[in-house]
Amino acid sequence: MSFSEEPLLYIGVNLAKIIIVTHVVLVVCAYAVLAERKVSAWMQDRVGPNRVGYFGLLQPIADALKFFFKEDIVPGHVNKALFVLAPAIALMPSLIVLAVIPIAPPVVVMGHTVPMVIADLDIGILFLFAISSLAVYGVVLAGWASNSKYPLLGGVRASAQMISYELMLGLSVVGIFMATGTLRLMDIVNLQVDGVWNCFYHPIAFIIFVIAAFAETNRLPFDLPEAETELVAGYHTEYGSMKFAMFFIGEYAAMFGFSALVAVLFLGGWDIPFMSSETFASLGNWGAVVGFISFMTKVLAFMFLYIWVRWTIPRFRYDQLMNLGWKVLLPIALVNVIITGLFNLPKGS
Amino acid sequence: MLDFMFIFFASLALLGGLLMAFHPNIVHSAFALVAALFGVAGLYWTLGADFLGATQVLLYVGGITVLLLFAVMLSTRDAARISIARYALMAPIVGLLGAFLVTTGKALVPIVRAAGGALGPTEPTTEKIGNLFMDPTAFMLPFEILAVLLLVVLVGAITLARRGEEDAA
Repeated sequence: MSFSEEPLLYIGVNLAKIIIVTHVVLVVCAYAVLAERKVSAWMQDRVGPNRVGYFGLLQPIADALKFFFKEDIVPGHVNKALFVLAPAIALMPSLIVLAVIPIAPPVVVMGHTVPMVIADLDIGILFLFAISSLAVYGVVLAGWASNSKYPLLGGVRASAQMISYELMLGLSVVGIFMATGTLRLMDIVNLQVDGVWNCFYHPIAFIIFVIAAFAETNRLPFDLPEAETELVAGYHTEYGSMKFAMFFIGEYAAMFGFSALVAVLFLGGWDIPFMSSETFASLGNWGAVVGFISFMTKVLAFMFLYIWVRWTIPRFRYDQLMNLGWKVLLPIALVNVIITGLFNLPKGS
Repeated sequence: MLDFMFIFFASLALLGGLLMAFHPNIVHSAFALVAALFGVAGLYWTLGADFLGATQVLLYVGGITVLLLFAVMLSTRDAARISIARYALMAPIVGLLGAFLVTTGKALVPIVRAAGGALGPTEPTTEKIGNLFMDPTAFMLPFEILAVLLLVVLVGAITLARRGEEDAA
C-alpha cells in the first residue's frame, strides 16, 4: 500500500498507528510512575499510594490533574526562552524514537498488509540512535538556562555521562548488525522469530546494552545528573508544574523506548518461543494481537527491572561511573565486536 | 513537496549558521549551530542519502556539539558574551541571503533533482557505502589514512591531558 494508490487509507492507517503508539506509551508512562511508587513502597515495607481509587489505581490521573492546575512558575533569574524550551526538547526525542520500533506482526487491513511500525526505515536503528542522542540537549539546556549552580552541575554531568554511554550503546549493537547484515529493526525481529533470540547469540552485547541503557536514561544507579543527595534535584531543580512533569514523562518514555529496543534487538520482539512466523500468519490478525501482547510483556518486564534496580542498588560515584564506562565496558564492547566478526567471516575466507 | 523540503532545510542551515556567527551569547550560538547542522542533515535526506543524514545527526548534532556545549558551560558567564556590535553586521547579511535564497531556491530545486535528488531515500545506501570503504580500488586507502589520523589525534589529546596531571603530582 502506498500513498499514491490509496491516499485516504494510507493516511488513516498511519494516523491510527501514531495515535495508538503514543497513547499506549503515555498510559504506560503514567502507570509506570504508580508502579514505581508501589514497588518502592513494598520494597521498603510501606503501603504506597492507596487513597485515590481502588488500590491507588487512579493516582496517575490525580497526579496529572495536580500538574495541570499548579501555577506555572518561571523564576526571575532564568534565561526564559531556553528555560521553557528545555522540557519540550527533553520529551520530544523519546517519543520520536518510537516511530521506528516494530510492535507486532503485520496486520491485514482491507486486503492490504500493513507492517506494525510507524516508519519502516532502512536505517531504523541508526535513526533511533541519532534521535535519542538529542535527549541530552533537554537536560543540558535546562541546566544552563536555570542559571543556578545545582542545575548547571547536573547539566554538565549529564552531557559527559550521556556522550560516554552512547558509545557503549552503539558499540554493543554493532555485533548484531554484523551477524544480521541489516539496520532495519523489522528484519532483525523477523530473523529472531524464525531463529534464536539475539540475547543467546550476543550475551555480552546484551549485558553491555542493558547497563548503557540505564546510564542513558539517567536512572539509578547512574542518576548522577539529578543525584538528590548532592545536587538537590539536578537539572530540574528550578522547574515546577507541567514543565517538571514533561521531564518526568520524558524520563519514563525514554525508559519505555529503551525497554522496547531491548525487546526488539535481543528478546525477539513479538516472538513467543517455539512459534514461527507461519504460526503468527496462520492466526490472521489475531496473530498481531498475540504478538503485541508478547511484545508488551517483554517491555513491561524490562521496565519492572528498571524499577527493581533503582530501589536495590545505591548510586555510583561519578568517577566510578566514568571508569566503568571507559575502562571496563568500552574494551569489552570492542573485544565483543572483534569476536563477533571472527564468527561471522564471509564463507570461504 | 521536495521544493518545500529543500527550501525549509536550506533556510534552517543558513539561518542557523548566521545566528551562530552573530549571536552575542555563545551558548545561544552553540544551539544555533545545532539548527544549522540539522538543516544540513535534512538536505542530505532530500538528496536520498539516508545513511549520511542519520550519521550527521548522530555525530555532529548529538556528539560534537554536546562536547562543545560542555566546554562552553564550564567557561565563565562573562566570557560567554561577545560584543553586541556584531548585530549591526547581521541585518544586511540576513536580508541579502534571504533574498538570494527566495529567488534562487526555486531555481536550485531542478538542479538538485537532476543530481539524483528525491524526497526521502529511494534505495538503501548503507551497504554501498560500506562496500566502497572496504574496496581497495575505491576509498579503502583514504578511509584507513583517516582512521590513523584520528588515532594520532586521540593519542595526542590523551598525552596533552596527562602531562598536566604529572606536573601536578
